[in-house]
Amino acid sequence: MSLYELLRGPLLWLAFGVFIGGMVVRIILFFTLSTKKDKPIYRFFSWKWLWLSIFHWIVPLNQTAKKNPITTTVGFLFHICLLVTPLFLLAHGVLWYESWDISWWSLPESTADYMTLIIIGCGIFLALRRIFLPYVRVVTTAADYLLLGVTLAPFVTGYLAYHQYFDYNTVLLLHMFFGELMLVVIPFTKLSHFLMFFFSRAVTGMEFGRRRAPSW
Amino acid sequence: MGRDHKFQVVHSVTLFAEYLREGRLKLDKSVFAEERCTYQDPCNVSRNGGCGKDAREIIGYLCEDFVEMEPYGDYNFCCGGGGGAIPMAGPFRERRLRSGKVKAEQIRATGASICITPCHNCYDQIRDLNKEYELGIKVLSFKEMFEEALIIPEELKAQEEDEDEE
Amino acid sequence: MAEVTALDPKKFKEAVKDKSNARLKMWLEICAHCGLCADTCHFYLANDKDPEMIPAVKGRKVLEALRKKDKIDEEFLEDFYWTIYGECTMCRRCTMFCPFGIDIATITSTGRGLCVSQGKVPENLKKTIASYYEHGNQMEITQEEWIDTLQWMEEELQEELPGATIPIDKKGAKVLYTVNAREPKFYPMDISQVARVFYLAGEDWTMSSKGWDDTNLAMFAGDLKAAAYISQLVRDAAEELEVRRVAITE
Repeated sequence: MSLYELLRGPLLWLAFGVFIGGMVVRIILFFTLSTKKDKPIYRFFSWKWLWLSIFHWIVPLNQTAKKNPITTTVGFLFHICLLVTPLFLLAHGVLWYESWDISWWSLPESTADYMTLIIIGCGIFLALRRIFLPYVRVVTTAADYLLLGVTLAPFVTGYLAYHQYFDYNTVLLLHMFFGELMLVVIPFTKLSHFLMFFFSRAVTGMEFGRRRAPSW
Repeated sequence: MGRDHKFQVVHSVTLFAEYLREGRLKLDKSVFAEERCTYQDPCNVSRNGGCGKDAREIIGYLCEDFVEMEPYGDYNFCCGGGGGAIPMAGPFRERRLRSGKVKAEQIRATGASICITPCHNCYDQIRDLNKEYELGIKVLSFKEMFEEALIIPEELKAQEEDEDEE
Repeated sequence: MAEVTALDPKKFKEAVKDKSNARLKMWLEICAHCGLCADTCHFYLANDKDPEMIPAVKGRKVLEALRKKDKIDEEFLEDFYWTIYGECTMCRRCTMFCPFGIDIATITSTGRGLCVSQGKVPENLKKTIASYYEHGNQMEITQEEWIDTLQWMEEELQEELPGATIPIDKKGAKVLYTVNAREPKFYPMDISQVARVFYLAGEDWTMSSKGWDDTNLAMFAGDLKAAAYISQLVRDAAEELEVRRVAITE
C-alpha cells in the first residue's frame, strides 16, 4: 500500500472515526456528568433562551461584535471560510464521488482559492494578536500556537498543492496528513468548541435568561 | 433564591415600582428637582436580578434630571464592592478602592450630584469612592429618597390622635 | 521542605473532584484565549490595563488548580487566593461579552471553594460565616438586639406617623421583608424608612424574628454548604409565616 493509499484509505477512516467518535463521547460525558452535577441547567431549561443565546452569537448581533469590529470581522471570515472551503471544494467533491458515488454543489475554483488565502490571512492576524496584544499574550499557551498551526496547515498545503508549488506529490501527502491530524485533535482540545460552543451558549443563555438579562 | 418555593422572592425595587405604578405611593418630584441623578445598577439587581427596568420606573417618579452612566443597565460595570469585597475588608480594602476607579469615572462623567443605588454593597463602596476620588456626590438609596419625597396624607400625620389602625 | 504547612493536599484533591462539573470542565477547555474579555473587567481597566487582571487569567488559574489536585503547593495557593478573592467580584459582566458565554463568576466561585478546602478564606468572611451559624446573621446580632432595634425604629417612626408599625412574625402576612444585617448594625434608619413605605402603601407585611438576614456571604466565600444553611434560614421563616412573597432589601 502506498503512502497515498494509506492516507486516502485506512488513516482517513481512522481520522473520521476518532473525530466523530471522540465528539460523541464528549457529548455523552457532558450529559452524564451534568445530570449529576449541573442541576441548574435542567431546572431552568428553556428553549427560548437557548436559541436566543446561540442566535445572537452565530451572527454578530452582540456587544462584543459592536465593540471589536475588526476582530469580529476577521473571526467570522475565518470560521466561515474554514467550514465552507473544505466541504465545497471541487477536488474534495471528486473524492466523495469516487468513493461513495455522491456529489453536491461545489465552489468555483478561484473562489475557493481566495477563501483559502482569507483563512491564512486571518490565521496570521490571530497569531499577531497573540504576539502583540498583552492581554491576549497573557493567556496564550504553546498549545494555542500549535493548534493554530494545525488548523492552518491543511489550508497552506492545500493551497500549495493546488498551485503545484514544490513537489506536488509530497505536498499532497502533507495536505492529507494535516487534514487528518486536525480532525483527530479536535475532540481533545479547545477546537472542540466547534460543537461545545452550542452547549456553552445554551447553558449561559438560560442562566442569564432566567434572570431576565441578555447574554449578548 | 432560585429554588422552587411556595413563596415568590422579590426585590424591594420591584415592590416599590409596583406601589408607584398602582398609585399606592405618591412622590413629590420637586424635592430633587434641583439635583442631577444617576443610577448605579447593582450586579445582583440589574444583570443578575432583572430589576433594571423597575428601578428606572421609580426614577421616573422621583427625578427631573436623570442621566445614565455609560454603559448602563445590564451592561453597567460592577462598583467593585461586590462578591463579598466589602466585608472582606482588611488587606482587600485597598484592592477594592482601586478597582472602583472605573465606577468613579463613570459617575464623574455623568455630572450627577446624586448617585442612587439600591444595594448595600454598592452604597458602601460608592460612599468610599466618593471620598477616595473626591466625587462630591450624595449616595442615596431609594428608601432614603422616599423619606424626603413621599407625600404623606394629612390624616396620617402625628397631630391627630384618632388613626384607623390596620 | 521540612516546614509545617497548613496545606491539606488530600482535601484539595477531594474538593477538585467535588467541584468539577460538566460546565466548568467544558468552559475551561474551550476557552479560546482570545482576550476579548479583557476590557470588560473593571479590575483590568482600573489597574492600568494590567493583563494579569483579565477574566481569562482567573480561568487559567482555576484550571491549573484543578490539574494540580494533591500536588498543590503553598506558593501556588497563596497567589491563587489573592486572585480569586481579590481580583474578581463575580459580577458576570465579562460573561456577557464572551463569545462562548463562559461564566467566570462560577469559575471564581469554584476557585473559592477550593480555597475553602484549605481553610484559606479571608478572616472577615470566616467570622461572618461563624456568625450566621451562631446568630443567623452575618453581624453577630442577637435576637434580642434585633427585636430591640425593630421596636426602637417603630417608636421613631410613630413620632411622625402614629399609625405605623413594624409587625414581627405576623403569620399570613403578604410580604416578609428581609434586610442586610448591615442595616440594624450601621443603618437602622433604613428599617424605619422601609416601614414608612409599607405603611403608606398599605402593605400587609412582616419581619421575622429569626430568618431576617438576606445576605449570604458564605456563597461569596465559596462555602456552599454554609450557603445552603443560610438561605434555609429565610426559607424556613417564610414557610413558617406562610407569606406569599419574600422581599429582599435594597
